Amino acid sequence: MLNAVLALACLVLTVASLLIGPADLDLTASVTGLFAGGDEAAMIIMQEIRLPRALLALTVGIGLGLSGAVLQGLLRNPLAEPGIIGITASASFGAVAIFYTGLAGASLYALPAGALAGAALSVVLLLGIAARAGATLTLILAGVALTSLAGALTSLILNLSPNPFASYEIIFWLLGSLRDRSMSHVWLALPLMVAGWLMLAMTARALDALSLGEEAAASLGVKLPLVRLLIVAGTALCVGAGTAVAGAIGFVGLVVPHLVRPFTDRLPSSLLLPSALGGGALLLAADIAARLVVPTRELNVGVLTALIGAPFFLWLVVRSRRELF
Amino acid sequence: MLAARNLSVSLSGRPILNSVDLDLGRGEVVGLLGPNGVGKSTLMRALCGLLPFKGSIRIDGRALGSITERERARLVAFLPQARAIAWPLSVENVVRLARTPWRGMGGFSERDTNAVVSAMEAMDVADLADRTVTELSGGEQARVLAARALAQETPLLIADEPVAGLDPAHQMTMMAALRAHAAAGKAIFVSLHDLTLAARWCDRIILTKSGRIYTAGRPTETLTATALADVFGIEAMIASDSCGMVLAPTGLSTHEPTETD
Repeated sequence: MLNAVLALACLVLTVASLLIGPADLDLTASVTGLFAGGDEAAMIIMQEIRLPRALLALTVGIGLGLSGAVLQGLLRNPLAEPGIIGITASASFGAVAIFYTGLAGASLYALPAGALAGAALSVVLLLGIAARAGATLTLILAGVALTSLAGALTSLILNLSPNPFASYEIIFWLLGSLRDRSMSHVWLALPLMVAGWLMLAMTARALDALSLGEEAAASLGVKLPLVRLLIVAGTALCVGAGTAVAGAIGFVGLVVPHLVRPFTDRLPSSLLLPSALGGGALLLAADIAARLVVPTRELNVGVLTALIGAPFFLWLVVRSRRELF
Repeated sequence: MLAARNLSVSLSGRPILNSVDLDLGRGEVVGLLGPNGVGKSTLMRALCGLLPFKGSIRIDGRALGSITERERARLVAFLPQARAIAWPLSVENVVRLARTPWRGMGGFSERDTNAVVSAMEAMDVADLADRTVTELSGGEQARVLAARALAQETPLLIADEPVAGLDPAHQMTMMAALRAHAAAGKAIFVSLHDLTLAARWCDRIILTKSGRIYTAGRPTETLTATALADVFGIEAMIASDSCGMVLAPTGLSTHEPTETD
């Protein structure tokens, strides 16, 4: 039931996303433009501007929601999220480094590769720390440190940036946006994200067993090193590829599992599909809002998700001191 | 059922267990006793295959190193001392996690369901099936987690201080449930700190001291005044009634313990 509602929300929001934009296309023109027909302008607007935008919002959102749910399950902590533990910041740094070196212009794949490498490196570091210390609090603190470090390195690159225009481009990219993306962005990110989704989905049973702690999970036959590896790789693929094409979009992975959790039996595996669908719906909605809130000047979707997500996180921290999740 | 030979375990380079030999048979409850920090938990984790070890551990004739994690999880169930449940799950869902090593790709089989139901009945938590486990009392949580271990339906169950923090009645309920499980042909290995509880509910006692087995045998043979002085450094009043031994520590022992290392 929950999954059906969320899937329907994704569908409706995808259609809404396709119908909204500065070009004044009516419903008929939009539909005919989308399915190869009608006049050429409508076709270009629909197929090359609005469709990639809607698809990216949906798929990047799915990846963020899913990886948030999986990380919360692995760390047995409701405050875990790719953004909070430093993965998004590291992916951003990886991409910005590519911007700075000028390699971004050389190949379409350079920027995503940088973001992926940054994401993977941060997850490996975090898991190394987690394996040594074991405590989830340590991991979150390490993530905070990692976020700061990646942020500082990103700022350093901005300082060293040869011209103000390059700095402006980097800053704008860091705010996260789905504007002016093409189908080649979709084809670039989608296979990586789908691979990431599959890896994360494979850990469902293990995440359930982990509810009892790592020792009990291991005694139930869960191969913890393999599970950690799948989650490292899957999160890096989802968040790295998402950051590569959409910039830094925070808080989706944190907020969505919390919103859907009360409607499930709270087993981590029951949370994966609703979190994925919810993430897609939330990012689609945020991207639509980014276009509508200030009609004359489009907002960056990353700014919007942070504006909603940060107060939510604060509320979560205050509430978690009073009750258990 | 379980045979460990020349078992040694080191943690971060520090030797914890030194050439331990141990046998557990079907139908018996074996108690593991010893002071804090002598490696009781380490021994239990090693027997469950959760720690790297030297020597050999065979369960049902199969070497622990040569079987998959899943096969191992069908032979040994482990009830850790820490009662940590991360999410507000229902009692039934917690017990159902025990079926992880038995489930295929599909859903729950009839055998899975039966195992869960009978384990919940054995631990007297069937009435709590729909309750949220994080809202239960400590004693109820301990029983739910014990039911989880029983529902794994393994021939060997290793329980690390399952009665810690329980009131006397719940301690006895727990031990009675473990005894009933042993009577059904399983082997139970349980670490305890309560001497009387161990003496009355265990078929055999293994006393450990500094990473080695000090002595092993029937409670009346192992829990002697000398052994208690040597292993725990205590003096105890040792008596017996119609149900078995009664041991009450009366003070710290005054004589120097016999050197055994």
